[in-house]
Amino acid sequence: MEEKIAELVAEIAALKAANATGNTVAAETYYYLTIPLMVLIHVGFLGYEMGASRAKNVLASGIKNILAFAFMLPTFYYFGWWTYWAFPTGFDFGVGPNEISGLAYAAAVANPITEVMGPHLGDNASGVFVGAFTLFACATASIMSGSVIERIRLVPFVVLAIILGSFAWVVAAAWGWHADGWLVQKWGYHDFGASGVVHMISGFFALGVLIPLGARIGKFNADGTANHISGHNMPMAMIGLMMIIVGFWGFLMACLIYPGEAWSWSATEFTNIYGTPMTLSALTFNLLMAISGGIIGAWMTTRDPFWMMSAGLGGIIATAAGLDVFWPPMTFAIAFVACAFIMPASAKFIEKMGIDDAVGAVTVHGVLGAVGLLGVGIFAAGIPSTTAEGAAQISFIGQLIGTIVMALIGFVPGLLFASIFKAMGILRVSEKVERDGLDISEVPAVAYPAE
Amino acid sequence: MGASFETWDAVKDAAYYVGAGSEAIWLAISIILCVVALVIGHSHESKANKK
Repeated sequence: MEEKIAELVAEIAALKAANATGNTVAAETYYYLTIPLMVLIHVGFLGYEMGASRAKNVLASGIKNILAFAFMLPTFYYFGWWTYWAFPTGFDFGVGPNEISGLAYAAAVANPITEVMGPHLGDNASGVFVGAFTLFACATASIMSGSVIERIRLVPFVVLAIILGSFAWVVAAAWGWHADGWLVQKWGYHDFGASGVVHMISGFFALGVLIPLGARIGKFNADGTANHISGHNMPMAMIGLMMIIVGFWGFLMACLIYPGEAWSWSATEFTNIYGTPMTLSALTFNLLMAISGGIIGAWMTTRDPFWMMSAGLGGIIATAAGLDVFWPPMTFAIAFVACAFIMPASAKFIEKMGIDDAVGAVTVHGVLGAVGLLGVGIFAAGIPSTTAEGAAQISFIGQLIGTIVMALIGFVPGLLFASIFKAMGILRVSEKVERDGLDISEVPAVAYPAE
Repeated sequence: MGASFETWDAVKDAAYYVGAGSEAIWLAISIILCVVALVIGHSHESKANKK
């Protein structure tokens, strides 16, 4: 009898171990698969940015986009991941209530000269987490990249992309996209799908760069009226935008925390990054509604295929912060209104201000990102921001404060560093290069050979 | 509007979305928006075809 019991106990232990191994491998695979899906975002940005460029600049725009992606990968490894864990409580590098933040914690989990940042048979998570976050970082750089095409110089652009992608947005993520973040703990800030910490920051960083950079030659007339500068390949831009939407399935998938691991918030259910429960089904319901609401809304008011496809993305951005908690038809309505009315009004206003945003990134990511944050404050007020007892509740004031913080973290460094590069005389290509085309001046290849 | 629950324990294994109590209203709004978009789209297309 005792032997039988011992056998059963051993069998149960073996089953438990097998189950734990299965869960660990499934979790690792889950995040691993988000990475190639998010690379599709960059396939999309590449196509859309090149399509929105004139033929004389198409390869220079492509190179710029590819380099933003490539430089983000090592720089996020060097200091981006560390920044995320060091900064949640602010610039004091303190330890938050969940004790997963601060200098000592960052040194333990994200120090690039220790074994935690390399192959390790006891760690199936760090590499795929760093990978997913790095791809978020690449998205921020690509958002800014489209705005500044056809006149920015390559190296200052890459430096700006590194400042945005491997530092500025990471500080914002530490503050508002981390359970120990001071915006979350103190103000109940909620931003499930990164309306603020990725999109709004990037849109406002782009705005900060665009002001000192100035408009493309021929964009504005002497009386201040604007001319439309058509890209050379609208179908390429449209397919690119659709590809970004495909990639966003991976982006949002990576915003969930897989259950059952030592680092998970829950043993049994998916949670968001703050630890509150959710499901992939909830995300699917809302994501589909957001895409459709945005496209249909923009079709109704603009008829413009470029803006319609931008609105597929815009619908996601305008609801991303609440995609975990919204009722799906509500998501549709918010995305519809944001893309039918706010998006075209914002684009017109920015143009009227004399700012040449070549692809509308300030509007689609910056302004609609703010809509996403404030929408949560209006529609989801009262929800506890974390599962901890006495957690701050989501509120309009908290979301408004978060919106202001996100705008500033994006705009100020963008304006500051772009102004420094302008003062150094290295921000913009010469007038001759701009008129001749960047490809013929800088690229040892031809996009469309005549023969 | 706002949340219909005050703690996450209150929605264990249950629906947890915001907008509870007004599901039908939001559904109606979203349907109306679709119909309005189609009507305006039809009108635009008709005018374009007459030109």
